[in-house]
Amino acid sequence: MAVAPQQKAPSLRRLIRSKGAVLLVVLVAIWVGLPFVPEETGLQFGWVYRVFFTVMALLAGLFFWFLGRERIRTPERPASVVGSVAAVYLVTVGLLVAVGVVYPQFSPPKAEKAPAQKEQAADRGRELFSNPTVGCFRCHSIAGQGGIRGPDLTQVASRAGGRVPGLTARDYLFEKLKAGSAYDFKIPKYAPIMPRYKALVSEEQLEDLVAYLTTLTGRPTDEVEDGEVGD
Amino acid sequence: MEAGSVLLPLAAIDARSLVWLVAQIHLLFAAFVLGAPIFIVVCEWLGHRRRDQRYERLAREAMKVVAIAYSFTALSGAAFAFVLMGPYHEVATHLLDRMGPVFAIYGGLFFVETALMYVYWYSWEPLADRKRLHLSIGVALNVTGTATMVMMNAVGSYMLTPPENAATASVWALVNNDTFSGLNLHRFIANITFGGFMIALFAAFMFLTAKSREDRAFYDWMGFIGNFIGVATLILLPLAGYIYAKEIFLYDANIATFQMADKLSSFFVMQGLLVSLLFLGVNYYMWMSIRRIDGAERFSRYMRPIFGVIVAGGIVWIIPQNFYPDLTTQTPGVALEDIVLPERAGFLGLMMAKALAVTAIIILTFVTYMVYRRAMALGAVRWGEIAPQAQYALVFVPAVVVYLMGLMGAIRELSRQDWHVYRVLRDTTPQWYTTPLGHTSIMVGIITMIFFTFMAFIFWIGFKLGKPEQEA
Repeated sequence: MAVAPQQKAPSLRRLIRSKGAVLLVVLVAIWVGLPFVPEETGLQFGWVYRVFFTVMALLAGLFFWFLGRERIRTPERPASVVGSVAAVYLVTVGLLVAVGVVYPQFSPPKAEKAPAQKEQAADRGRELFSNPTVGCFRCHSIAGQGGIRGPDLTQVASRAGGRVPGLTARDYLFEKLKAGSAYDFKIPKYAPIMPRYKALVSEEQLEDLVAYLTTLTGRPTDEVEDGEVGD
Repeated sequence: MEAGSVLLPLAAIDARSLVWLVAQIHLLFAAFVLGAPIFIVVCEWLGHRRRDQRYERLAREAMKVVAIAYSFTALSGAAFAFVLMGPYHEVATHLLDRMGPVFAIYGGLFFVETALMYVYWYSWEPLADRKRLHLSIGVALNVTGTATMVMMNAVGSYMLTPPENAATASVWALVNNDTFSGLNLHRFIANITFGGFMIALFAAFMFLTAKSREDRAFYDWMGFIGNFIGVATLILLPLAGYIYAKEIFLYDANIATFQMADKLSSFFVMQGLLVSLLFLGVNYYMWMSIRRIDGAERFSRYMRPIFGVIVAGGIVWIIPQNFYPDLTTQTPGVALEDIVLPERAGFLGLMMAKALAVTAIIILTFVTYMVYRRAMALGAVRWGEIAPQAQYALVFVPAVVVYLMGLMGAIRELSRQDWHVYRVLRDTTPQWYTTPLGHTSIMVGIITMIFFTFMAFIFWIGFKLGKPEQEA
């Protein structure tokens, strides 16, 4: 009769000491304990950190489980050895790549060009602007040089971003150049005579022109009302 | 900019990816053929001094792998030069123009190193009775190899930390730039670590496929020596890394901010994870292999507490200060307090906590080694009776090492931001920008698998394909 309690005690101790129980306590502490920590303690971890700690706890549990394992079986055939070694590499590298992919990260600037490239594109755009074949300068002036049939562009980079809600200066100028006077947004007081540049120049040349126009943030030479200076 | 697409199109490989891939594979082979001969010569010397034939056999078998790998190093080096001079001819021209003498010396040293390597390998048998002469050739090989590495370190460190007035500075000023010594120290130690773990990998594979009891005993011992060399030098690496990082930080704090608080901060979380896995792997090997020492059961009670501290240290190391992708990116739909450490726990994200965690991991790895030594002093080692999972730990560790080398190489290159040579020569190619961690991880993963595929081929050629002739 006295044997039963003696047998129970070690098994209870074993349960408390078991890796599963420890892991359970840690997970409960993370998801039930941490959210109730008073704010004034300065120890309130957000859910992203709780997920992070959970992953860490599970990996640690897996490691300690593996640590307690006895001798594993050796593969007998050389092909099995090669397969098992390859599996170790695939799993290890695969998991490491997965961690790198799911970790929060920035997007690469696909659409933007390098600063030096921007400078080169703007230089090419300046030449195109003055090129008689393209003819921008016949209607538009910059710093007092050019035509007056279209708006002064001296400050166009500062104003274009506010033309159409949701469109940046760059995007607005690109759309406006492509469509010309057919574009939905029209500048008041100017005749709708701007050609569709999409048909006149290549896509790269359009980008160069936009790159140049987005550098124009200077003061206009004449006093003009808001709305008259633009594209 | 918003957090969004992680992957860049990889289907059609761009110029940067091609150079990245070839350069990193070349560096991995170069690190192996530079690092392994250092301890091969030490092993040959130990074999000669102690009259222990196992050291001689280890040195010889390892050198056979190195001799084959040397061809791959030269081939990948030529491929690297070829792809660099195509899409990146501007930077190649700049480097040749500014550092011409360095490349000339490098070329000369490379030829001398190649000659010494083949003389060392093919004179093993003929100089069996003149061991001192053979060892001297080995030492000369290592001195030349290290000098070759130093030449390329001059170029690599110049690209990140060129001196002021780089356009008019002397060649020596370009070579002796602010991070030249730090990079040399770090690479020298890391190459030996890498060589040790690669030899341990070879031994593990040979152990798992060995048919005879003698072979298993030998390869078990060889894995132990390779791992020992790897661990002994691995312990020094964090310190060398700090010295190198400090030199970068003193050179330009902007690079430090870019690395630790901006676009590369997540890369360093990944680095912490990899180094923690590395230490877990080597400690796991030691504790599993201690079981084959008579009377070592008495030490087993220390195993779990030691691993408890190592695991806790690893977790502290990789807890990020925040989960910001960089200094400007917003993460839509996530509250700020969810992605930043709470006020009182903020110290966990600081270098002080990280340094303490690393120190604890290093000290306990040293303690594990001392326990191992003590066990070996008290009982006989039953070589060849090691648990197979210990051999798989020796397989796992090099995978992590190679991945780590690839990641750290990417960090060093990306630290230049949109410059080929920092603030001297701008990168105006379409791939001028910093790649995110996801894209970098895929690249490093591909490189790791390609490298081990080549290494498997080398093992196969050297020890499986050539075996019948050897035995005949």
